[in-house]
Amino acid sequence: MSSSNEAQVQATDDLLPEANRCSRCGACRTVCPVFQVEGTETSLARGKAQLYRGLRKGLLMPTKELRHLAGKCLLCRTCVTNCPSDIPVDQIVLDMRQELVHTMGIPVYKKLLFRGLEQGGSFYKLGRAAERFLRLPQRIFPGRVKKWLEVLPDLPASTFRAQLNLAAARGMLDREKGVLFSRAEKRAHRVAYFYGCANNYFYPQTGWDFLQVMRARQVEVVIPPQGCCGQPQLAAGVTAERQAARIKEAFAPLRVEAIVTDCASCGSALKQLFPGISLGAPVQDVTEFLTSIGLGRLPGLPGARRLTYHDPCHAKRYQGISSAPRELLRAVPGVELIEMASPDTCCGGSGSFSLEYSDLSEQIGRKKLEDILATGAEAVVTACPSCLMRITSLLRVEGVPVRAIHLLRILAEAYAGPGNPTGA
Amino acid sequence: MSSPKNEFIARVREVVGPRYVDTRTEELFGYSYDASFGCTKGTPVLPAVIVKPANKEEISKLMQLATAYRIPVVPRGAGSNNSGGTLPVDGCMVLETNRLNRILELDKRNLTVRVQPGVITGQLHRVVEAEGLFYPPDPASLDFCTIGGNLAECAGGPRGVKYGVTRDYVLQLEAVLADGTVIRTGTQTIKGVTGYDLTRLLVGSEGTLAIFTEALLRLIPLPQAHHTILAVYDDIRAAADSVGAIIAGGIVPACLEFMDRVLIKCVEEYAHIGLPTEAEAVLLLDLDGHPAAIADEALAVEKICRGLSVRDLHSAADEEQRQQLWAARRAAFPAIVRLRPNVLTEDVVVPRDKFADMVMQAQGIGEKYQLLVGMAGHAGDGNLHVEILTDENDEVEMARVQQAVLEILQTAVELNGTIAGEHGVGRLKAPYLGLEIKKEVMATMQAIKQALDPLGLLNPGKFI
Ligand SMILES: Cc1cc2nc3c(=O)[nH]c(=O)nc-3n(C[C@H](O)[C@H](O)[C@H](O)COP(=O)(O)OP(=O)(O)OC[C@H]3O[C@@H](n4cnc5c(N)ncnc54)[C@H](O)[C@@H]3O)c2cc1C
Ligand code: SF4
Repeated sequence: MSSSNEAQVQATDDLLPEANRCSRCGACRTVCPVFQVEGTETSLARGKAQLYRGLRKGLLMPTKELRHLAGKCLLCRTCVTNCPSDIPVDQIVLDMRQELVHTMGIPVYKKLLFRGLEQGGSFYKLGRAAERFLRLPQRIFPGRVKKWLEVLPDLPASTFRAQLNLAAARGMLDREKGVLFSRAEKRAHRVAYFYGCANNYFYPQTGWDFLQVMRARQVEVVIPPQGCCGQPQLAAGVTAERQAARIKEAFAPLRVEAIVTDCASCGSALKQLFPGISLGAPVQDVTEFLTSIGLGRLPGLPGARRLTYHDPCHAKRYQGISSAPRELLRAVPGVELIEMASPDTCCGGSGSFSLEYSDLSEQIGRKKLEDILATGAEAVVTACPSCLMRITSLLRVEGVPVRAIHLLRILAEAYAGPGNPTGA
Repeated sequence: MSSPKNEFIARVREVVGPRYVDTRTEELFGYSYDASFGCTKGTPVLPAVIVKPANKEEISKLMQLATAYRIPVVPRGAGSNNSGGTLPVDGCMVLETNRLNRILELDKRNLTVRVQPGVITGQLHRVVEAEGLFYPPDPASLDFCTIGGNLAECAGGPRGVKYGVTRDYVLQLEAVLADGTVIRTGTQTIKGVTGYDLTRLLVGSEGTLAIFTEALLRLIPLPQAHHTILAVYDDIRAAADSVGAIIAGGIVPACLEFMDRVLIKCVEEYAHIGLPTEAEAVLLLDLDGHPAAIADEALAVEKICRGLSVRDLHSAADEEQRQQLWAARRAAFPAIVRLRPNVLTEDVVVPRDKFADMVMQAQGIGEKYQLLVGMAGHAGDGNLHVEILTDENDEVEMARVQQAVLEILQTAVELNGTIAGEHGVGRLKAPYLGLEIKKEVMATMQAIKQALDPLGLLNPGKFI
């Protein structure tokens, strides 16, 4: 595996020698999800290396077309793990994007998105208003907008942060100088929670599940005010320095065992930005943290559940996590885990990729969908809201009664016990 | 705007539909290379257009257009060849046959399979093996290369020693000639002598005579059992000598592969399967057939190897371990660039009793020119891949590399061998053809080319 975990915030190294090392053997043809749909060389790892060479050597101009092709990569790292020559194609693609941002600037809509993610609450209100307008049934929109609405989940009534604040106001959480605390009866551990934008804006339920599970394990959770993890910026070839500085300011002073997140994408960005304990404590995925402390007494689910698990790229190939979530699921009384054909194949989501290349993303996702449905499982479980979004939308469009759920939902239900279904 | 070229492209769009035609510079860049040495140097030559037809009718029309407009055509499969066989020439049309990717008919009574050229070799293996049948040609690139490319290069692989190469499994070909004529060569029968053997002529013609659109391939029953042995040597000569001794001993393994120290190290670093990285050479050997016969042969092989001071002999414990060993062997070529930026693979073949001589002389040539050389080979059929590890952007070293290449090829010819075993001639080997092929033979080949492709449109600059 390539070593981007140690990479600096901005990897501006010239990777030309690495790109030149690609033997163009073609082994990436067998694994690249984009190539499997598109069948074009430039969608492929070796094609990306060639485009990079062209750009760096001044043989290709920074054009919109090139930007489009540079964008056509999920950064899923499947080719990197498979490549016999160990070519860091993900780094090459990122460096190409960076170079293109450098020469051409960021597209306006991305600028708006990034600014929005920093704005937090007011951005969300704008989103809600836009959503209400867009989802009005009589309106006819161009295909692209329709696709977007398919991909994005319905927005909850308020953000997770707003819900947390309300809970604090009602005395359900403690508050000290803007930092919230979810206390445990007998405190055995103390962690900080990074919930990320996707949970904040789309999946607040996952945030509540996190807190419930931690409470069940006697873990005190500290929740400082927070913004974006920097992942969308890094993937777009934009520096994440500002995000990093903010995160550092919010998290470094907290005296905790670990900074835990339940979003694989946030987790990999945070680990990249803050290797080791440079954030005061190690960054951990919630599945890593839970397997390290154990699940304790787990009353179990209301009924038997046939589940299958999808490995997020950001967990499997960026953080090396694949056994932890399975261990957790298998430990839940009532869960039958049925492995799908290739659980670590990318679902095609890849954050804003699913909006920018919505058709392609959907087609890549269809393969995932087939694998999921072939298991006969009643739900597909994963540990990344970005994958949840992609897979949920695929299931919805397909009109099948299979659900996509975050692993924490299963655990939260299992702690609540057979007699206490917790809705959702 | 309406230059002949643009007119040509417009008409190509009408034939295959705009979706399957690309002229964007960026996309053309992605078709400016294949897996051959030297692709990262200088400014790449770009094709004028990339076309992806769906069937032989479209291909026939495309060739008619190419003839009318005098546009050179470069057929392309997965672009995994190592000889520059798919490198574009200026202004050409790259004609990719990957959309013709169906297995049309598996005939279990006659042991044949009818396939289109875009079928991936490994996929064909899986399909026929599920029916207890066997298509032996197994280029190391089988996970991604296409049957069309295999036919055009007459690809071989480790199993060549016992089962032969692509050529030995082709009964019939359907192909489109330069002027668009569709021909069908060969017979559906196992034998047949009506007319010249055009099938054999076209197999290995590297896209210079015709474009394949279909092939009827011969299958054999899948061997019952396998036994894989890894023989480890402290002395490279002893390993190479063992190859000759095993063959001379009347044993025909399904595969008999040779790897030297450099290769072992790179493969181990990629695959982590516990290869002995301090050994000088290993032989990887697969015996197949009836379990009782295999057991006998395994004993005989071990005896021969012991006689030649083998250090260790290991047998693959189970199918999984066996698959691991062979998968690792297949990754050898790309894995080798871990040491230096690029690798130039020479693909010489010598009579098998000369295999050890070839190995030792190639090693000597590498030392003479101070080059890092790794060696791997389908040793059982005398095919040695001399991998020169270098940096193609280093002019000084490249001069030495050129010298070494020439000497390696000369050595092969002197040992009564050939300069190209299975990777083709393409653009890279074309300048050296004279080392081996006599003038009058060359003239005969040129006459054939002239007869089939008088305008020289099919894959110019390659092969002859
Ligand atoms: C890692 C690696 C390992 C390899 N190992 C082996 C090996 O063990 N043995 C071996 O023999 N080779 C090997 N090769 C070389 C290569 O894979 C083979 O030559 C293979 O047959 C090429 O198939 P392709 O589909 O990639 O064809 P391409 O590279 O696309 O084309 C090869 C030639 O075929 C022509 N062609 C392609 N399709 C058609 C068609 N439909 N009609 C007419 N002409 C056509 C092209 O014009 C070109 O001349 C290896 C390559 C790599 C990268
Ligand atoms: S990126 Fe890796 S797998 Fe793909 S062609 Fe290059 S060396 Fe081969």
